[in-house]
Amino acid sequence: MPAAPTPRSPQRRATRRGEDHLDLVAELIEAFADSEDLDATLAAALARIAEALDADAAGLFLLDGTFGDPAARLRCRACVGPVDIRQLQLPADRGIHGRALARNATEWVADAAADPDLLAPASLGIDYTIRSMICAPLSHRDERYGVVELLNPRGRGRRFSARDAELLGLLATAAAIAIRNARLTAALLAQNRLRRELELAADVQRQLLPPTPAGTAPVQGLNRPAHGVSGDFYDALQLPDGRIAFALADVSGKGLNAALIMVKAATLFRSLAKRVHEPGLLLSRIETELCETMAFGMFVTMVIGVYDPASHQIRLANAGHLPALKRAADGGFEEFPATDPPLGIQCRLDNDRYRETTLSIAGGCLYLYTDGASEARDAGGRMLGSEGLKALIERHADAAPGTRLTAIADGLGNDVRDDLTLLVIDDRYAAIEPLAASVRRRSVAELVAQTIPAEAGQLKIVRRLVEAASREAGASVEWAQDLVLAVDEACQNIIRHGYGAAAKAGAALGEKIEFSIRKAADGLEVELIDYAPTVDEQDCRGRALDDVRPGGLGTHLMHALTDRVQFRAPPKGAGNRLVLTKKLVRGFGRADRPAEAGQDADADPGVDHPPHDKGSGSR
Amino acid sequence: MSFKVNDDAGTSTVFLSGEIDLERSPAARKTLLDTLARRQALVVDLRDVSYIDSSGIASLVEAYQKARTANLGFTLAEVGPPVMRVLSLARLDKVFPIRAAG
Repeated sequence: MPAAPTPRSPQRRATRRGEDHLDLVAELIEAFADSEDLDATLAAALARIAEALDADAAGLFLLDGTFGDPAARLRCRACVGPVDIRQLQLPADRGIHGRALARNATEWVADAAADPDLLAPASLGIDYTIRSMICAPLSHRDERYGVVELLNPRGRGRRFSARDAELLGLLATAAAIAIRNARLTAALLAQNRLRRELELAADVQRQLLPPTPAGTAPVQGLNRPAHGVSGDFYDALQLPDGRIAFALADVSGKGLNAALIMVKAATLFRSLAKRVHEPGLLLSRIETELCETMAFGMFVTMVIGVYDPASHQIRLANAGHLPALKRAADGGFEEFPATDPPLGIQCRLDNDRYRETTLSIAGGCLYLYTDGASEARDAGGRMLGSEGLKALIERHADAAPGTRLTAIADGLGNDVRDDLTLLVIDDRYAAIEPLAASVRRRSVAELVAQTIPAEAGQLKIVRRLVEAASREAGASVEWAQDLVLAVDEACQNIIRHGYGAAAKAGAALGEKIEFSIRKAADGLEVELIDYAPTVDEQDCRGRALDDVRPGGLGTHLMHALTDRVQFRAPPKGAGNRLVLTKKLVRGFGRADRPAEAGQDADADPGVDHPPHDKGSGSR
Repeated sequence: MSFKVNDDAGTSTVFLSGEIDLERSPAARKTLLDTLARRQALVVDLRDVSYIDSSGIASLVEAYQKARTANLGFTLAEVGPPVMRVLSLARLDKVFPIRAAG
């Protein structure tokens, strides 16, 4: 518990009576600014105020409920005086404290007996008589947090003066700002926690998507969430008889709710599709299970199909989703729109199952997509629609299915506002790629895992490892050089700013970086775990919540040279977990990003902290 | 760790070499600043630099700023592709006087 504010310095400016209290104001403002335990600081401050103004009793009340709501109460959080009134609750719209709150101004009641609004303590069962009181609102602009009151100045017949009232008003303002700051900080921390949880949820979701098969596998999917978590999913699994069951779905709404429903739908498909091989029946089973937990008004559009490479046929059921798009061997398109409403609408179905369509895709393809694809816009802001999608499919028709989906997604532009999910079943490739290989075992392809001391001399080892892993993954020399530099810069940030070792010759014990490189769905992921202070919490006070990036050229390079720089929830005990992702596309060449790279472009490279700069670099 | 320095009539040339990274950029910086202290125009020859990171770039920026303040010439020479890529990403390719390779 923090100590009560104590007189701070001998430099008192006591020229006239009353100005003495300026010291008290300064002292309390400082105590509030340093406060880590607001309640304790408020209680200590109240005691100091009562003492300074020579009051017999004092109370601090915080508003419980919304100001203006008749049910709102003022709850005592701290008190001074002969009676312990903590836990006392007062109606917020009556009494002199109610008046102070309503008028948002200090109420000075020299003679309490003459004030008709006074709530006599006796009426509350408290044995105390109020002669004189002042009551000031704890408010910041129009926002009310509570009130602080002083009762009965000591000394026979004394009453509070206007100057006393003025001073209490001043002190209440300082306290209100402290309350406001504490609440803002708490809100920021909660937001920060939530963001980390969302990142974890996004991780969980990514793991639910099937592993990326070889680029020439006949069934391929792609998912690009617009934000961290997605309401879309796709899946494909091989049945024991050689057929392939696939699904693509879009959960209504956005955010965590939609993501959780998506997780459930995906899990249901995975488990039920192994036993139920009829798409219409499978959809109705999934709906039954989903409806048990889905909130009213949410729904899921979903297409399920079973593809038989031997007969080149697909059995398809479409529950309220966008039309499936067939491109026949001769290049003609045909759409297969929904035949029943989405899951969650709970309508009565014929035979308790969704209607099925059987189509042949001999030598052709079937495409499924979410509205992230059909509602994407071109550079002129025009929605591409299904015609735009068809044009893209046509343009890339001869590419292998995996490459094709990436090309189509790229062609949809960066202005994809919604989650984007695509699935293709390409009959032409069924013969080429042995089906057993089309859905590979899920394994995390970890190329490198190494713990290094956090010191400059280790960076060349890191560079060699990144280079080797990049080459092993099939990257070009330039691509590898870019990733090497990005990872080097990330390690430097940890060494220089995280562990603050700029001036030190070597790393202290425990100052290490756990460094690993894995194959991701479409490139490489480099993960760096450190034990330095966590980046975000420090930033929480002074910087925008989203701005977790350290400043300077190094950071600019990290962003410019990779596709994603992301702080994820660190493992227990660690400080930070940074993941750099760089995509390998276009025949494993360099994913050429022009050296534009966003907001960092204006960063003055000269202000990056050079290694000889002992100034404390902010992360 | 030191770098070769050539003094010519009115011009000093510093030959940076190898990987100018967090470990070696302090030495590079010292060489550059010490050479500038001779109050001659400075040419930084980068032909043998295989790698440079932000700390190396920061050393070049600092030397360039010092040279300008002291009204001394400052030129980067023989800039190879790896260095040029970093300079252009840092938007410094238009800032530094760069002598075309040749």
